[in-house]
Amino acid sequence: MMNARYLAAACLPLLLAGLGWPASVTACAGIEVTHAWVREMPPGVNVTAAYLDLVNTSDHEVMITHVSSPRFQRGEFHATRMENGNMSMEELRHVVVPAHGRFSFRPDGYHIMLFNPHKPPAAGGIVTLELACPDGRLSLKAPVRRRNFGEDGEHPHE
Amino acid sequence: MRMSPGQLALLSILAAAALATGYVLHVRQQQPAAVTGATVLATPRPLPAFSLTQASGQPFTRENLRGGWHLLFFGYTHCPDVCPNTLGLLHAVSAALKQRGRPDLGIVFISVDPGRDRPEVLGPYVRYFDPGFLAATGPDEQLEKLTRALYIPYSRDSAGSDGNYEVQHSGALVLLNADAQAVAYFSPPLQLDALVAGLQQLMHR
Repeated sequence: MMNARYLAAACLPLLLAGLGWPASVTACAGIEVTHAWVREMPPGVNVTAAYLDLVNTSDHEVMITHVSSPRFQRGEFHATRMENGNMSMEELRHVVVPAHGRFSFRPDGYHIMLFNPHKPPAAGGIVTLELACPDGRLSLKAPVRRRNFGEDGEHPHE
Repeated sequence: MRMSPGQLALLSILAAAALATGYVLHVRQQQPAAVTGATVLATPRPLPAFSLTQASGQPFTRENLRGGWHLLFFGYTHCPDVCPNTLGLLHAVSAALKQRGRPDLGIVFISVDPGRDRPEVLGPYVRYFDPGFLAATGPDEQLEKLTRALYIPYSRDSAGSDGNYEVQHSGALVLLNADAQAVAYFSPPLQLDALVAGLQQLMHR
């Protein structure tokens, strides 16, 4: 008879995938992804942004070195900077999630910039994102939202 | 009647306090009440003449901004973060003002990326956020007449290998009165409630 512990271990990835959490728990050890979503693209535009929180439950910092999506040609980590009221974007080579800390990608702050979709994602759909760490990859599914203020009941600076 | 030095001192203090109170009240009357989150100009600043093109293909000039209040936002469509956030916010602002009996604020998106944001691109883009929004752009020489007068800086990077490039632009909103004069700026971070309250206050004057 199967040990209950093995059964739980076998079910865990499925459970996490169902919750929209990382489907792979072996790589990027200690990292949990929450609040992930991708902005639906307005017509005529070939870029969009993904937002999420990276929560590090481990005792050591975790570096995320790369982001990609099978739906897009490429992804980059970006920071929206404001200097003297002027907004600009700056690409980040990697992001570091401190031990027992978090790194948040949120509107008007850090964001994952996604370029040139093979097929533009529509609100209600799901986009797969892959984050790379030195020890492997972490795959997650992010819902696509239109995100107009007051229409989906969420505040962008929650 | 003779006063003791103590009484004289008290009288002088009272007189000074009365003067100071009078001065403070006078100053308060001169200055408009502060508006949350807004920088209000002491004197409204008129716009220079400029000639842009609307998403519809019609010309867009200073004359289009007369006769009603307008809120201007400068950006570009290939902007993944700040521009869609702000336009989504402006849709909510417009809806909130309509609910409060102010349906007359025109919201205008000015693209500072005329190379990519042709009028036929701009129309569907702004209508995605709100069918009532206006959009316009034009050559840099015309855009700069407007942006320099409003102190709204912008610049563009050179294109990368895939043709993509980024645009640096102000995140501020500019409120114009019905005489097409700039009266106030709202700078990021922009908050829905503060923006709606500030606009109502300013448009009431």
